[in-house]
Amino acid sequence: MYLQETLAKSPRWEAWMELIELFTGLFLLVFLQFHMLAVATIILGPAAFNRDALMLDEYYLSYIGIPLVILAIIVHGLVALRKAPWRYKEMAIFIQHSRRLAHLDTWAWFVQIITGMAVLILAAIHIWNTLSTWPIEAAKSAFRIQSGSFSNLFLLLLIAEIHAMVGLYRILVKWSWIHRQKFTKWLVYATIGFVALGFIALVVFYFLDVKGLT
Amino acid sequence: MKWSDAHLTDVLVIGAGLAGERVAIEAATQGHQVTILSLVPPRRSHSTAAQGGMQASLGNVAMGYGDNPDIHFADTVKGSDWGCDQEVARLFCNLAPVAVRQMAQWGVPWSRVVPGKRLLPEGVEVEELQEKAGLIAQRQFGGTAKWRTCFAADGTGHVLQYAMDSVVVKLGVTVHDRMEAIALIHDGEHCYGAVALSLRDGSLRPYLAKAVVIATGGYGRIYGVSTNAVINEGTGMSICLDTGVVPLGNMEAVQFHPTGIVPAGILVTEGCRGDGGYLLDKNLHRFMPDYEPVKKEVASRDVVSRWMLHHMSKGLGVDSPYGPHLWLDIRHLGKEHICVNLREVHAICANFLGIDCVEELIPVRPTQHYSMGGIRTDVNGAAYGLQGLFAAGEAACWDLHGFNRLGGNSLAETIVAGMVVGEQVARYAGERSLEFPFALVADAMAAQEDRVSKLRSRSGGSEDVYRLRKGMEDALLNNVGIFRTGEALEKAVSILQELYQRSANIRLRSSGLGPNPELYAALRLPGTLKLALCIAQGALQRTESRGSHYREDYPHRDDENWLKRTLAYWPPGADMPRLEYEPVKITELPPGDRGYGGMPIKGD
Amino acid sequence: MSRFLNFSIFRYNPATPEIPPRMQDFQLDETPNMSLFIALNRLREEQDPSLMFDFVCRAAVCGSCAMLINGRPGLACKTLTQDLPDKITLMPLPVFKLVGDLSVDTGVWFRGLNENLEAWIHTDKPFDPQGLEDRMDNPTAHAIYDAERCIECGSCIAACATANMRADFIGAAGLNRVARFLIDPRDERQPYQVFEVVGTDEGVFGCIGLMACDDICPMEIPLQQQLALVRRKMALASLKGK
Repeated sequence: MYLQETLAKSPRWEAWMELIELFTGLFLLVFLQFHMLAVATIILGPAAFNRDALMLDEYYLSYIGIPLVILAIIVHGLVALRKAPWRYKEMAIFIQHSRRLAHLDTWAWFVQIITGMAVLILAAIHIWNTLSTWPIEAAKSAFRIQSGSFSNLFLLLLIAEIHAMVGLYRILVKWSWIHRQKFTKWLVYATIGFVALGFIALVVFYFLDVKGLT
Repeated sequence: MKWSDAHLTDVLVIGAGLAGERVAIEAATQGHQVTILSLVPPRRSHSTAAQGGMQASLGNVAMGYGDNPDIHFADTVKGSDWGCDQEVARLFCNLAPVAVRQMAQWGVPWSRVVPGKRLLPEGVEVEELQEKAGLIAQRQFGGTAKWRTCFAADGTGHVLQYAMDSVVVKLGVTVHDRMEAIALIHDGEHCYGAVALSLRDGSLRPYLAKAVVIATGGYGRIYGVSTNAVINEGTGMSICLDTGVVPLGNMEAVQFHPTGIVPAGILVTEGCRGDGGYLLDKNLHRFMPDYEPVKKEVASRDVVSRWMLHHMSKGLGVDSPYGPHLWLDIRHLGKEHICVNLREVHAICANFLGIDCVEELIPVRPTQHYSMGGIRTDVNGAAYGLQGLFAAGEAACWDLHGFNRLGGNSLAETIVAGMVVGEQVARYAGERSLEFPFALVADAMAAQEDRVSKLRSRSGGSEDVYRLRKGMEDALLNNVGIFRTGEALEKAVSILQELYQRSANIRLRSSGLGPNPELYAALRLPGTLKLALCIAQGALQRTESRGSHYREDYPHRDDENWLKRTLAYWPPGADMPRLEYEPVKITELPPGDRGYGGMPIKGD
Repeated sequence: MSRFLNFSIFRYNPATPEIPPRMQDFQLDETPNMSLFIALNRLREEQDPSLMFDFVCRAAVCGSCAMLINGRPGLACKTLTQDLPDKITLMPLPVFKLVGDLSVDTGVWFRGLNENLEAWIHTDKPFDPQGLEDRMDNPTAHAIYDAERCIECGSCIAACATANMRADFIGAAGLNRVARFLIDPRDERQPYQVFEVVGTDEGVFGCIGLMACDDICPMEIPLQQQLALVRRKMALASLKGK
C-alpha cells in the first residue's frame, strides 16, 4: 500500500473520463458530419447555403451549438490526450514498438494523436475566422476561401475527417460487439465520401463570384 | 552456500502438473505450508497437453447409462493386462466421479449433455434424456465398455490445469518455477528435502521439508520421438533412483499412442477414434475391423498400436520421406463436430501439417506416449525405501495402469492420486517436526556443487552431451519399441551401458555460466541413461508379453511366472540396475481374457 | 532447392554483464517442414550450446515459446520457416523480464496477474462429494471454454503499446481472464466487485483499442469482443455502483 496512491484512488473517475472521451467524441463526430452536410449546400447554390445559415441563426442553434462545440473540443482534447506518450521514454518505446510490429492499427493511434493536435490548432483558426466575420454568409466564406484559406481549410477537412473516422473506428472496436472486419471498409468509404463532399464544396466556394453576391 | 539460502517448508512438492498441484492443494487446505518446485510455470506443465478427457463413471450419456465404478474397475484391470494393483484401481474408480465434480466446482467448463436424439457415425441412433440435460457429457475412449470420458472440447488437460492452478493461486501456495530438483537429501531412511538447481541462473539451493512429493511426470523424451513435452525427461524418477534405496516399478511398461502425427510426433487425441474416426491404410482400407471385429479402432492403445505396426509390416503403410505411416480419417465426423469437439486437432493439423482435417487425411504412426512405470509407492503414495518421500501421477508406479493405461485414466489418476496422496502427505507432515540435518544438507550440496563446478571447469573428458543423448534416443527407439526381442534388447542394454560410462566424461562446449542449457543437459543425462537402462533391462528380463510389453520371442502372457511387478534399484556406484520382483495384488478380478488384442501378432 | 536461412538472434546472458546485449548471426540450411523449434534446437546442438530459449509442449498448447519473430510476437513452435523470408530476426518478448537470450519470465508475471485479479471461482457453496454436479447448459460451457483457451503465452502483452509503456497494465490476457469469470455462472462476484481492479486505467480503461492483441493471439481468441464486453460491464458498473 502506498499512501499517496490510496488517497488519490478513485476508479470511478477513470471510468468516467473514458465515458467523457466517448461521448464528446461522438458529439463532435455528429457535429462534424452535420457541419460538412450544411457546408455542402453551397453545391446547390449560395441561396440554399444562406437559407440554412440563417435558419441556424434564427433558431439560436448557432448560439448554443458553437460554445458547446468549443467546450467539447477542449474537453475531448484534454481527456483524450491523457493517454498519449508524453514522456520521451514512452514516446521512444511507442515508436520503436510500432516500427517493430508494423501493425496498421498501432500506427493509427499515432495518426490519431498527430491529427488530434493539428485539429486543435486549425479548428481554433477556423472558428476565430468564422466568428470574426459573423454571421455566416456564402459571400464571406467564399471571400475567405479565395483569399488564401483554401489550403488551410482543405487540410482541416482532411485531418478532421481522418481523426473523426479513425476515432469512430476505435469507438466501435472498443465498445461494440461487431467484429471490426465487418465495419472497416464502410468507414473507409464514408471517410472518402465526406472528404470528397467537402472538397467539392471548397471548390465551389473557390470559383464562386463573390462580387456578384455582394 | 549460506544457511539462510535454505528454503524451509512443511511439504515440498516437486512438479507442478495436475498431480503435484492437487497434492499441494490438499496439504495447504489442511494448514501446511507448501512449496512447489517446477521446471516451468505450472500452467506450462505437460498436463495441459492432454486433449481427450478424464474417465469417471458418471453414466450421464446414452452410451454410458448404467455405468458404475465396478465396470470402470473391470475395464482398467483388463486394460492393464492384470498388471495393476487392484486395491489402487478400486480406490481410484470409486473416487474418480468425486474428482470430476470437484473440478467442475473449481471452474472446469466441462462439455455438457444436450438432450435429444443423435446419430453416431456408425449409424446407431441414441437419445440423450432430458433428465440428464446440463450434466457433464462423456465420450468414448479405447478399451472401455461404456462411454465415460468427461471432456471440455479437446482441451481437457488445459482447463483442468488452469482450474487447478487457480486454486493454488487462491490458497497462496508458494511456487518456485524454473527450479529443478537434482538430488534428494536423505540418510537412507528418511527424506529431508532436495537440492534444487535454479534454471534462471544456474545456482543451487537446498529445500528442507517434512515430506517430499515427486510429481514430475513421465520420461517420454528419452525416446527422442515422443508425444511428450520436451521437459518430460523423468528427472524426478532419476533422483529417486539415485538414492539407491528407492525402486522404480515396471519401467519396461511403456505406452505407444496409436496416433502421433508424422513427422512431428505431436499427439492427436484418442477422442478422434472415440468419436468415430477410422484408421486407413495406403489403399484407404479401414483395416482395424479385420483384426478387432468387436472393438475395432477403440481397442486399448497397446493393441491398436501393435496392429498398426503389424499392418505396416505387411507393406500396407503409406510411404513418406519420414518412413511409413497410416491415415487417420475423421472427415465423416463433419466440420461442426471437428471444429468444436476436436478443435485442437484441427489446429494441430493446420499448424504442423498444413492440412485441413475436415477434408484431408491425417498421417499418423504409433508414438511413445506414456510411462506406466515410475517411483514405486504403496496405495498411500508413500515411496518404497524412504520415509517422508511420496510420489503421484505419471512419475509414480502407484500402480493403477499395470502394463497398459486406458486413455482418459491418466488425467483422472493425476487428480485422484493427488487427493489420496495429498491426504496422506498432510497426515504425515502433521505428525512430524521439521528437521534441519546440517551435515546431510552440507554434504548433499557439496556433492552437487562439485558436479556443477567440474562441468564448468571443462577439464577432462571429451564427450558431447547432445551426441550421447542422441545415442540413447536411437538405442531406445530402435530396440525398445513396440515389438521387442531378446536380441535387440541385449543390444540396447550394451549400447546404453557404454553411453552411461561415457556420460561421466562430458565436456561442455560453452562456458556453463548463467542459465546455460548445455550445463542442464549435462547434469541430467546420467540420470536419464539410468532410466533407459532400467527400461531396457526390465524388458530384457521379462520373458513374456503383457500389455504394452510385447516380446516377439515370448508372445504370450505368462501369469504363472510373470504375474509380478519389476522393481529396479540402482545400488550406489553400480553400472547396472538390480532387478527385484514383487507379486501383483489381485483382490477382485482374477487374470483372464481381455476380450481384445488376441496374440501373437507379428512385427516386422 | 533448399535455402540457407540467416538468423539474427538477440543475445544476452545476465551472468556475464560485461558482454552487452547484441544481435548474433547464424546460418542454417532449411529442411522440409522446419519449424523454429527444430531450427533453434539445431542451432543449439550444432552451433552454440549456450543459446537460451524456452520450449515445452512444442505443439502450441503450453505458451512457453512466444518470441518476437521478425518483430511480431508469435509461438516459435508453430512458426514454419517456409513462411518466413531468408532473413529471420528473433528477439525475446518485451515487457517480461529477460532470463537470457530468447527466454523471458512469463510465469511470475502471470502469477502476479492472477493474484491481482483473484482469477479463481468465488463461491460460498460448499462441495458435496456425494452430490451430482451443478447443471450448466452446453453453450455457456463453450463460451467459458472459448475464453479459457488462453495459454498465457504473453504475445498479446508484448504486442500491446500500452503494456510496453506502462508496466502496471493488465493487458488483453488479464481482461480476457476477467471476461471468463464474468460469464461463468459459478463465480458469484458481481461486476462492481472487480471494478476496483478492472475498471481503472491499469485495467480495461488503460486499453486504447489498438487491437494488436486481437490480430496476434496465437489461439485466435476473439479478444476484441472479450475486451469490449469487459469495458461495457465496467462502464455500467461505474454508473450504477453497487
